[in-house]
Amino acid sequence: MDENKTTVVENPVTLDDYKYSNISQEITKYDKHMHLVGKLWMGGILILLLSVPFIIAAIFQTTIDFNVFTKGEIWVLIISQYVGAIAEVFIYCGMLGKGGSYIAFVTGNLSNLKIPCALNAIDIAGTKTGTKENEIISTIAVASSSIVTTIMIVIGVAAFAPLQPIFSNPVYQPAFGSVVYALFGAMLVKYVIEYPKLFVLPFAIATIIGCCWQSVGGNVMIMMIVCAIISMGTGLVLLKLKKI
Amino acid sequence: MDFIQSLANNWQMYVLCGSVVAVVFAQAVFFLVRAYREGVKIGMGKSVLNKTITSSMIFSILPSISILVGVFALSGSLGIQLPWLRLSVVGALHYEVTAANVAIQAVTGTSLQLGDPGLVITSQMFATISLIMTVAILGGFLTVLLFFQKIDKGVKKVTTNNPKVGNVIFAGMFIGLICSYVSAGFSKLIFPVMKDGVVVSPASPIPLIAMAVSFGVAFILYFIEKKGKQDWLKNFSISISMLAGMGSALLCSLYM
Repeated sequence: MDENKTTVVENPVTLDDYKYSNISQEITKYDKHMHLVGKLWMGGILILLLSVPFIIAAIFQTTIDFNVFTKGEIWVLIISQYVGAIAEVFIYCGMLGKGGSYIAFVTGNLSNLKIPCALNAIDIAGTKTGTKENEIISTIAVASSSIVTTIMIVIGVAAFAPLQPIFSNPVYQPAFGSVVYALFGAMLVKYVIEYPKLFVLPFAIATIIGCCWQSVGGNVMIMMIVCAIISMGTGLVLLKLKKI
Repeated sequence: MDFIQSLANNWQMYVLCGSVVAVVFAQAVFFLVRAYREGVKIGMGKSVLNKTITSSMIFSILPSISILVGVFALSGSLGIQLPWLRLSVVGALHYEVTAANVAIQAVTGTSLQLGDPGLVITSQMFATISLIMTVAILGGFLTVLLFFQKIDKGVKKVTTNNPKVGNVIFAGMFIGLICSYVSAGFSKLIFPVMKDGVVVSPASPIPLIAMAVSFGVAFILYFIEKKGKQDWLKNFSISISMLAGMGSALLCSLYM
């Protein structure tokens, strides 16, 4: 097989009639290099990210307290977030394709932005999962989304940074301290409506433990693992019993 | 002026965080250009590719506002630069808040969380929290970096044959995360946070009130969206609900 051969369509299809794929799915240089290029970018960004806390310590002429990594809750946090993040890779990489995945897992905000954006673009273009066109569309969608988000946050930070001392005023702390409760209260609706059977038992257990046992109920990490296991276990059992 | 308030004028933090964000921006531009050129090369119409760019950019505006709200919400406790970096690079608000709260609890040795009265962050604590938040969020990043090539082949088989299993696992994990904050909210409602026998943060119903108000508003918006066929609400509902929840928390704190 000639790895550089591609099918050339003389009259490119328009948006209106682009609902099929007659494009060669042969492996091109782009496909072969995408993994290498993606890894090079990610490797460089990883080095930058891990340098930031140490540079922060240098800026403020302080040191990082590594003793904190002997505490169990830190490892529970890391392991539980890693499990969740690894599950996201398995679930999303099929939709995102190679390029889309290398960008999305660097910029983050997958479930609330990148995934819906990619799915929207794929739906508009009418491409099929696993095809080369789908790979192109999802990469373009995720990259475009990342560009807009970055620009908007930069503008927002630049415009409102002078107001930051106001945000740290103790009067407003209860509002900012409640941000995660407000966020999850809003996100809860989707899961209560779409997965009520997965939600009831962990919610009841979380309420009881929170009311009775402060050291456990107040520990987000422990409760997250307990509730996630109960919820997933319930879901898998119901799936087996064909109740969902 | 405490350490967090002093961050507002710290230009080195802006340069540091801005540099990393700039590199990530460059990555997105690089992939966009490469994918576009490959699309044209293999015969995809430019109109399709251009439409993908414009529709994705427009689609991203409102969710980006939610992310910006998250940056400002976190800035009250962590300054503006670190939340800016964390929510622009390998970040999602629910992960970052969870990581920040656990990091705060670990460095202070209490059950204090973001925004709690009595929480005082020093420069060393700030540097340590930033490392914990960075390390904790790298799971997906490292998995893609090290194993994506192999995963890409195998995952298509599993999710094609068992799509429901993937959905249940992911929903279960998200429900677990949300319920952990339900538990923490009830705990804060009943128990004060103590350190060495001294109350550092009194019992408060405010987190649960914020969650309940936000849930109620989101519930109403959900039905307006579905029954009223107002699809445009999908991009607004989380932001509006979140702001309603935070607003109710502020009002309660002023009058309680």
